Amino acid sequence: MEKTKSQFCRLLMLIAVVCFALDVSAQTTVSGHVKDDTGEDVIGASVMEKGTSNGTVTDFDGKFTLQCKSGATLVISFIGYNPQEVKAKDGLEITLKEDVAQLNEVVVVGYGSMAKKEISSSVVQISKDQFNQGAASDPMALIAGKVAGLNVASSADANPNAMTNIQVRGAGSLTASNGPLVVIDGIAGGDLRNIATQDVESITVLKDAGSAAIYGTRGANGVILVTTKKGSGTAGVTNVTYDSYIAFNVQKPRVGILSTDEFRRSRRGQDYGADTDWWDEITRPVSYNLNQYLSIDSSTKNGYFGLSVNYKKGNGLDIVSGREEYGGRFVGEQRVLNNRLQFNSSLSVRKVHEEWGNDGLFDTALTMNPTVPVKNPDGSYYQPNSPTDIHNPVNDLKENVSQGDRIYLLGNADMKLNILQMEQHNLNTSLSYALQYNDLKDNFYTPSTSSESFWNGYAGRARINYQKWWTNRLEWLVNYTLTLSEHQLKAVLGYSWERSKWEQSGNENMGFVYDALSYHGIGSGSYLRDGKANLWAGSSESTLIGFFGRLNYNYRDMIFASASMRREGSTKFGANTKWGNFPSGSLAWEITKAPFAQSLAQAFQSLKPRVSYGVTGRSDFNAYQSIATYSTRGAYLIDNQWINGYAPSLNANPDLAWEKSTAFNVGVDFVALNSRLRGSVEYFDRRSKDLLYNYTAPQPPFIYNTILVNVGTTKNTGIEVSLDYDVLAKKALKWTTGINWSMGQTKLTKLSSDAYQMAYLDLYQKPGPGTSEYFFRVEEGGKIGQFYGYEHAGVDENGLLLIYDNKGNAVPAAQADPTYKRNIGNGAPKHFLSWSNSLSYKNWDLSMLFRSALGFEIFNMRKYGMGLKGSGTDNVLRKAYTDYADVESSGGIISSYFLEKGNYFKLDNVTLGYSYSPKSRQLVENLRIYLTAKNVFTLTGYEGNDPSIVTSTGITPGIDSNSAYPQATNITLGVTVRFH
Amino acid sequence: MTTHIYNKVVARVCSFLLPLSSFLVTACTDLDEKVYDRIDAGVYYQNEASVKGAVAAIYGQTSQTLAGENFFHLSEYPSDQITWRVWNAGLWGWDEAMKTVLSWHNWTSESTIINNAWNGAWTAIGLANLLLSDLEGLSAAGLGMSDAQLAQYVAEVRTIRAWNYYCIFELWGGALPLNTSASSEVPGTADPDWNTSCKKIYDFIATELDETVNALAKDDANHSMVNRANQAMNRLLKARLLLNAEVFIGESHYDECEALSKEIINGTYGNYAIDENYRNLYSMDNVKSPEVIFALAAEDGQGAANAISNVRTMVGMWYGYADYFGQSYDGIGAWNCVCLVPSFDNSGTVLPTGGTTGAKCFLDYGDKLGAPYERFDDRDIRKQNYTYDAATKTHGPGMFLKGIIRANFGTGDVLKADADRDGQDLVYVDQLGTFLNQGRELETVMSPRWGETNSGVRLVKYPLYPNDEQGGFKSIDDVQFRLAEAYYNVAECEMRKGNYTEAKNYVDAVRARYYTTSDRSSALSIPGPGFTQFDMDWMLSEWGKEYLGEGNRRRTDLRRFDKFTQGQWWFWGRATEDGISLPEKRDRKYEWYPLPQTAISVNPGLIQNPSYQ
Repeated sequence: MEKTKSQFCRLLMLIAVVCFALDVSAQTTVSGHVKDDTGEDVIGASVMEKGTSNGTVTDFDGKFTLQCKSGATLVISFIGYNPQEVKAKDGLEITLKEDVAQLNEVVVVGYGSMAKKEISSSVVQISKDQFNQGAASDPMALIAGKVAGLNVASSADANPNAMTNIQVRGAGSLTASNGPLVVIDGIAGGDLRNIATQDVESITVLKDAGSAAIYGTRGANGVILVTTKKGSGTAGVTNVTYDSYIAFNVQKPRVGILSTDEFRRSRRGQDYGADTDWWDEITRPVSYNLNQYLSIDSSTKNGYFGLSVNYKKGNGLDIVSGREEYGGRFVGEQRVLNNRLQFNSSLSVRKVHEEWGNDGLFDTALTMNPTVPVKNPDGSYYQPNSPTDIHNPVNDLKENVSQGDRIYLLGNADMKLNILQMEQHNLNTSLSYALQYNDLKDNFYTPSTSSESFWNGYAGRARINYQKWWTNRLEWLVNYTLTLSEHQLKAVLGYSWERSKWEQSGNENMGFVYDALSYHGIGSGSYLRDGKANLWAGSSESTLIGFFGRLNYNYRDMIFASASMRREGSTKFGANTKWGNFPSGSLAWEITKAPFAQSLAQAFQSLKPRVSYGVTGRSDFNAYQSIATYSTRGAYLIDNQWINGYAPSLNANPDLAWEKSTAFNVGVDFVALNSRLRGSVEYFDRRSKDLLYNYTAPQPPFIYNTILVNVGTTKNTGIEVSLDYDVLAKKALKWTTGINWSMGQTKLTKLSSDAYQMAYLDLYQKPGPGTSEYFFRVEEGGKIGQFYGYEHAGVDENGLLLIYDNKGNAVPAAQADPTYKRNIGNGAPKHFLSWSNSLSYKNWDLSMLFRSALGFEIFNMRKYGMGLKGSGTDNVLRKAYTDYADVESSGGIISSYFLEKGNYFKLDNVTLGYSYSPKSRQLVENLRIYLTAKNVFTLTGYEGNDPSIVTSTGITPGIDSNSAYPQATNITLGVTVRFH
Repeated sequence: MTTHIYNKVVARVCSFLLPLSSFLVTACTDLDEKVYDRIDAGVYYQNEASVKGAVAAIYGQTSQTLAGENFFHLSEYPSDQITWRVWNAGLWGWDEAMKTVLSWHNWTSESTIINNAWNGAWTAIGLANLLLSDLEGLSAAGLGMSDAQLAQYVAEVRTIRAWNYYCIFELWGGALPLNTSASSEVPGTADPDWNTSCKKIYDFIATELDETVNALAKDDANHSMVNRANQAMNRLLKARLLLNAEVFIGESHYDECEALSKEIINGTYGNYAIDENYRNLYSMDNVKSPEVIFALAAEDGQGAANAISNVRTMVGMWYGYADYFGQSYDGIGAWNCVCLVPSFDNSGTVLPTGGTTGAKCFLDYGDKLGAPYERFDDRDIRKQNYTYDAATKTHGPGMFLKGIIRANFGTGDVLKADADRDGQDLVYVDQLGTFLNQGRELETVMSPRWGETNSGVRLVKYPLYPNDEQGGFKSIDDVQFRLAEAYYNVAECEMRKGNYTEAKNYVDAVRARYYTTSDRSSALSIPGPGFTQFDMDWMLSEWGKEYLGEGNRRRTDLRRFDKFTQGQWWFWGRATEDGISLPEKRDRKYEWYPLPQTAISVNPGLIQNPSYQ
């Protein structure tokens, strides 16, 4: 034992000798002074010895001293300024120039970072100072409207438990997710709800396969890289930041339905004698959102640390929704052995309590008979028992307990060894371990007096379900940089092992004597005694393994090239298809640097065409789909005992694999007019093949009628334009305006293979009893998002809707034959547009963000369900008796009568801010107060809900739900104070 | 550091690293899937319990499928007794005509219901094929069982598989492929020649039943095998096959059918007898009834109880049904779209509660089919509203709901209707039409496209009663084979030979129980409403009355008497629909169903029924 130990020490020594053997040059001390081009001292500028992690920052007078190798090159940089390289000598005087075009801004990319100018693929980074202001449900709301081709949609802003839906460049997949891969500080698959929005430093969107292919089987929908704050930049300085807001959601005008009096006169239903405003009963006019945040950041010569705490509390516009969060986060770095060895770690923990409402009850409240009382004279809840009003929504909301408790944890420990730190060669390797853990315990109780108990014949139901998800990741990276006078080569090699596990356990019981016990007394229900209680558990595991590498080449800041490769496999893939390769390549040419382009350089500060190509995948399907297994299925009485049946879990597919997407991107980035105009234009063509879908399996021989197979292909094309222009760039008054425009569509190019045939896909079944109609039919060659139904042909004398038959005749809806159906519109917006403006005058700033979506239709479900005199609901829209009075009923069919143009233009966000920096900067460094209004107004011809809340992502867009969450204008008052 | 030490270190390091690195290389690339919440198929069969588990899944699936809704839809709506009618101004239950096409006899291969029936039956057959194939490789001893035990399980599974085949053979005839293999190879097609193909399936079913009957258990005095495939169930299924042989393969096997049915009656395959109280067949203790040969087991909260009760109990119920049955709601959706085919047309004066006075009965049109409610003799004890006496825990003899419906089995307040008659008194009329002129003006005879919430008499054959009594109605087993069928088999075979008296004797042996002692002899002496003699039409009607609403038999009965597309009832030739033809006689192509289009699209080897090509 002793011997082994000594041998091990020797091994360590050997490694140490190898590492330090190269560190032999003579050391010298240099000092200097850094100013900007107006002569002001630059405080906190970074001074680094090139190729090393040795460096310092300037002090309050802009001065620095640094020990470095004699003859070394120093790199002086500061955010917003072009970095400068100088030979190390004593008494340096450096003047930094403002980087208007921000070409040197550091952009985070997969497994590394690059200067913006070096990027040869479609990558957009939005930094903290460009974020949307005001209350944000999750970090993605910070960049809504900021990136062309990124759709950040929120359908229920005023619901504290709702998140945004995100999609990059349209939907390409049918059953896999169309959401991008989210990577938080290098950890893939992180949960955005884990992060305080104030902790986010920047968000990068990898739009094309050139940049996303390094994420292999998960990169096909684009990648979102979220980078959080690290320590303060200045060594020895500790910053304390207080960044908080309070927001109010003010309910927008409600839907116009018949008043009680009008309802009586309409004789729509029985008169129960009461006068109930159901909407009023289940909603509140104003809800609030409080977000408190405090952070401490500090840097030392050899590292940094940061600590933040966050508290959030809010309620919803329905009377029960609520959310409370406690979050804490630590991040630290320590460099030792003369920067040879570097330790990084971070830990983020958040506890959340959620109270859940029930969106379906908004529809109930609108359609419910207003003469029905909320309560009986004896104080108990009135229980309707007609099929159209089966729930008393007030009873359901107030008496049911529906809530969840979550814990989010994200931790990372990283050890990095800087093997070579020289001007020409830089080599390091790192090993990191990350743990991501979420859990959710959801509790439900409906008392014996509830509608559910009434309709199901039991006295109360309790349900507790506990789920947890965790991912262990081990990653090993090697980075190498070779810098020659005209060539720079950066290489990264890596290995990643990631195991994800899910577990669930739950139970349900009915029949309780004491409602007061709520779900806590779940064991006391009579159904357990009777053997009718439910108990379940589940567990699955999958492992993803990847080997990857990337090479970036820079020739004189003129030619930029990048190539990457990932080889990745997953346990979920079938035995015959375990591993896949995901290559990419991209090339960019900075024309202004070309010798012949001198004249061009007058007009353009940068003109960089670029092209990229890459292969990515989608693999977010469940485990255990490719192997033959048995699960319980049904039960039968054998020998006087109920025996659990066991049968194959599903039709296994040993060829199951990832969806494969190949994408081509061509674009040009430019900076012109003395850097006042900045922008990019690009075109992409993304083809996804081997799309997963649950196809009809041939029966016989298959046991079940569906099987998950890779068959279909889609083609996704589009154009994106992004422009920023400094209209006014004077010292006192500044105005920058920007436009993001994207246009695109997805076509289904193939749906059948030799073995699996499908003529079309029917998607999104119409809600309601006894229905088999679907809103969408996608055929080969057709677009995703196409509505399929009958074409409206007017109204007959009896107020019945007419439709066109196949001969072009108008026939009553009652004679609708499915063969008359056709494509009647498209629910996916063709154009997304956003227009941002930021103005500043002295200490004041004003920003405005307008957003628009154009070229699509929305199916007005509310009009369909409760908008006509003959609607099956008790109450209806008031318009049924005014605007739509000529129509009696919908005929129960999907007709283009209910499709309306969804085009809208809205003022999404307007923020007025005031910033103040005391001259002394003794205690308070900076103070900022802002007032934000969100969802200010929407201009649209659409008659239903605000079209911006209608789903625009995924493959079934454009259905305006009749149980949409109430819309609100959000007013936020926020303050940020930085102390030091 | 000397070279010597250096070499030593290198050697040490290598000896340490080599196994580690080879371990790492495997671990670093290991992608075998580890299973947690399910069982690897390779290790499934361990002992008798695992065999039982696999057998239970087959019975469970068969219960879901054959006693489930799709087979009910396909069997009943195209026939003359039960209909799916649309209501609330033609809106509710229309459902793109999914069910209505069945009543109208204009379905296509795109029908969702046809497709669902296909999927469900092949799942049951697929599970059976897999089990039989897996057991071939295993020894009884290895599973800790005797050879006889294992043989009995195998025989059960084969019999149940044969029953599933029988039920889909009835639907698709010669278009049906035969598959007994458990491999994932897409099997060969049915024979291009329809008759050859029919013969192949027919022979398969017959052979399977004959080969397995002896390995099955004979039911005992305790009825311990009544929920399992037993000898009498096997034989009665065989008799059913023989009775329908003319439809299936164009061969007459009536004599064999009669002989076999008599064997069953005589107790060769177990002791059975006609139950004197027909209510016992459908009540909680029905498995103890001497008449019941095979019932699918049901118990609230277990297995397929919901799927089974859904069809046999909830069909015809309305949203407020709980108030009539004095119970709280218990979570199964009511099927207000289903009612009996109306016995009367819509002529006469419209009443405010729906229906008319002075309507004409379809019996008076001379119809030998349809008019199911009026087809019952007024003295028949079943022809009353269903009641239940909580004090004595007995069901009243009635099995219908007609007229004004009052809470608590007709004793309380008048119940209210909903939808098109929201808030009005609930009054079921034996007529079907738009008496409020909603959706379409009232016509003398209307097809099921145009009903109202009050249209149609409702059937309560399997009882409903307060669900805190007797363990709840969902726990009643579902009778699929009972002795009455053997009697009616004999009766029909005799009738076909012209022996009317002998036929009547066998029918009377069953139906005598429906009349009080005082009414019995006079009631049995006449053929009943709509008939003047004991003939083939009467025989068919008796089949209908005995098995009303039982879901699995009507279509073959009509087919055997060639009335399915050629018979006359209700709206045929009397009502009109825009763009839809409702002729007195239908196209014979509707005798068999088409293969579902989706099945053909994934297996181009299947041959569509030539009539639908």
